[in-house]
Amino acid sequence: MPGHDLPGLDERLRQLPAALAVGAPAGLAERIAARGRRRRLRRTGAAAAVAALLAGAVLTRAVLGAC
Amino acid sequence: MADDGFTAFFQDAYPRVVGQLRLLTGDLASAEDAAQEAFVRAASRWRQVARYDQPEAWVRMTAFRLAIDLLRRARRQRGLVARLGAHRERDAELHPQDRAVIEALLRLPLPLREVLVLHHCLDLPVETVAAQTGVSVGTVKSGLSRGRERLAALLAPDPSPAAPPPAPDSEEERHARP
Repeated sequence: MPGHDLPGLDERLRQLPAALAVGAPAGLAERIAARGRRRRLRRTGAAAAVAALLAGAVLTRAVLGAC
Repeated sequence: MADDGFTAFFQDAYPRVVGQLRLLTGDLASAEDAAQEAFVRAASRWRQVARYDQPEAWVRMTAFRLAIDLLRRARRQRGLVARLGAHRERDAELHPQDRAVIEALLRLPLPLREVLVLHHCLDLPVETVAAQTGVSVGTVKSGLSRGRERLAALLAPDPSPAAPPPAPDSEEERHARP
């Protein structure tokens, strides 16, 4: 195929990610970790709320069934 | 507060992931947005992600999916596409040959660009590229062949007028996968 094997293309493609790498700004790791913790807490809180609602529904049904 | 190694993982992997994403997005701001959201997701389930054989691969796959979603949304909003193309000022440090390759990559349809970046730039096996992109190995190989051919044509010193470069917004790109 014409132009399919451009000399050195493979090597240049392999080197590109390193050429474009950018270091993390100071403090970014801590901010990202904190955002991750908040998101995990929100997820856990939401799951606990759903579990509490389900437990309440089951309890109500049991109490009403016993009456 | 102890973070079970997340900060060290982030410091090590973040520059690589951003560099890889820049090949897909063409601009630093979008690459950083996608990378940071992927790392937040990793941090939110770090105990699980840290047990993976390659946590960085999980982050990279998540970030690539986010970046592709971003690019597809941006393409639907042409004004944003123009803005995405306007953030290249920080590439001034690049070697001219590298810049030419990146410009050529960015002219390829997104599905072809994705498989080329994953396989040729990141050195991932075809099977891994297929798993990450959600297509068959044969489809990846076909995309690699066509993408490489177009890339070489775009980079050739005297491109043939019989094979004009494809528009990035071509009919082919509107289809889901390579």
